[in-house]
Amino acid sequence: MLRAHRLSSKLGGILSRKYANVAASPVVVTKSKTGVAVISVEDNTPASSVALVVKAGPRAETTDSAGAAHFLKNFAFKNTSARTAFRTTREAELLGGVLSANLTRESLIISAEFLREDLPYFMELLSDIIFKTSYHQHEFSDVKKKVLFERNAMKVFPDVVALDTAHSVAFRHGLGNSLFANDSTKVKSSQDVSEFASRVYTAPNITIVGTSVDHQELLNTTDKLFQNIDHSVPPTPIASKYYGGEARIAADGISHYVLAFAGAPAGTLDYATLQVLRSLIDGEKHTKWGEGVNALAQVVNKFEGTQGTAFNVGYSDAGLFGVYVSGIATSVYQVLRAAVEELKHASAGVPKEKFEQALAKARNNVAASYETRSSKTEIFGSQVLLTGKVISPAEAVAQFDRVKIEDVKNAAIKVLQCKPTAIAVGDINSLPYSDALSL
Amino acid sequence: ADLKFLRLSASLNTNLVREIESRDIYGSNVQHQYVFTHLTMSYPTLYNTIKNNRFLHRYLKPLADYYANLSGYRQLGLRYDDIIIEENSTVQEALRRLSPQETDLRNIRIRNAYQLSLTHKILPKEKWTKPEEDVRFLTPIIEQVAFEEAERESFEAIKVVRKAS
Repeated sequence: MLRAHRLSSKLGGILSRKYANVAASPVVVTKSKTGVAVISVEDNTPASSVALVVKAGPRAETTDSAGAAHFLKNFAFKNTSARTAFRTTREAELLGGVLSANLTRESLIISAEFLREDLPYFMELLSDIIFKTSYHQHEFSDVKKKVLFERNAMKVFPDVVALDTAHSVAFRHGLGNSLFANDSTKVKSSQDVSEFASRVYTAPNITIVGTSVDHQELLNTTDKLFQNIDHSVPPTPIASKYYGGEARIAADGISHYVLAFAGAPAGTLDYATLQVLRSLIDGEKHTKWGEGVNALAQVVNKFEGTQGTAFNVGYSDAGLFGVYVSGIATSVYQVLRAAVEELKHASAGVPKEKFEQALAKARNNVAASYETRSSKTEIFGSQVLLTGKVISPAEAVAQFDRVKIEDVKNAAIKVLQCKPTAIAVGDINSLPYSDALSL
Repeated sequence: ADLKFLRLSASLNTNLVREIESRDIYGSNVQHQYVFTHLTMSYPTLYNTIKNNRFLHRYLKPLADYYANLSGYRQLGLRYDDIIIEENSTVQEALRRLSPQETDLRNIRIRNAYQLSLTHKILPKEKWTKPEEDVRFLTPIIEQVAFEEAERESFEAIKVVRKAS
């Protein structure tokens, strides 16, 4: 399954033990006195984690600060007035903690995983990032090197390039802003990063998500540490609009193609319907030597070294639904034609058995997305940050009870009617344009 | 640089200073006023004593100014921080952290001073560095770098004591 791509950087050791969770853990959400929302999920593991989920993704960038989110993510855990970056790393290592900063399109997630008793230290560490980061100019050159490194590392993964380009072609501004700072970035000094930070690090923009922590302790620590948080309300971002279009990027090696359409915001019934549609037309095989259940999987199997996956990503007010195909150019064309055929069959009507199969798979995917600590943090944090309420795993799975066959059929019709986003990476002389796909 | 007898000046008052003090081989915990020199050992000074004492300051500051003027670097258009010995890792790192504008100005001053010293001349009196211009732009950076080096050394030598569970 093709998830929305993120940047992550990890410091320190890695937890090696995992505990199976028997039942869905309760999620408690409280608004702290300081205006910051505090969420805790009780997992009953000996290791806790706390994360700051900040609305500081590329969506929060303006034209003047293009690329600032990528820089800000790499400025996490740098020198603060309380301790140097070196000391932060060493102390976290000595305490057995893991520090990481991840960037998604709408949020920046700065998290720490640690043993239960070290909560006060790591909360202080996280709050120092907000209030006391020094943003020295000499650190900016190191951060810039890392940003460039990550961008060049991205270029090695054509599927990441394709998906990033798909967003920028489909949405242009806002959600279309690239996750990675590029050459045209306006961020030239640590001052630019510091200005962006002071704009996004405000109380309405921050959520604190803890797993396996005592909620009351987390709340009290937040009240104490975030007293001086800025309360200014950030400007509401421009509503996302889907445009569609084409982009072709020449590259060596196998070809990659992303054919995307307007999706639905996460958490809505439309999104659940698209999840079912996605499972319906998906070309992945889930057993090692099987042939795959869906018709697209049969087609993918005929061509060696080819992959065809359907994806459905949802953000706060828009989403992207589509198909990702990779392989040699001629196979890519065949698989794409087959995928479009599948969509047309779905728009004509879905047989009940296939619908039930797709529904079961969609339920499973959604339940699985709540599995790991980091995905729980990201999901609950962004839900509270962007919509104000939490959707528990049980509720998310129960949403599928309301999806009917007609909904899936109508979703497929709507998808086929919208202007496609077609991104071709690889052998662009042979890869098709979107109008060659008889959409 | 030999950092065994390092003491940081009283202005850098952090936990680290206390840690270093407590690992002192003489076992002393008193915070003396020492001046940090990035080269080798530090030496005791009465800098803060005089600075904080109005009476002493009034009579000793003019003497200090006279001494600084007599040193001769101002007559070559230099600032005090231009003549700090730079052939060691600490000052090299500090110079790396200097902004490009400051680096350029420093290079110009040093080049001019070198030319003057070759021709055995000094600048006309109007062009001597004025006391208000003689800003210590590099010393705070050197102190920060030395602090970071000392911090690294102390973490390398750290003795980890497991918490009683």
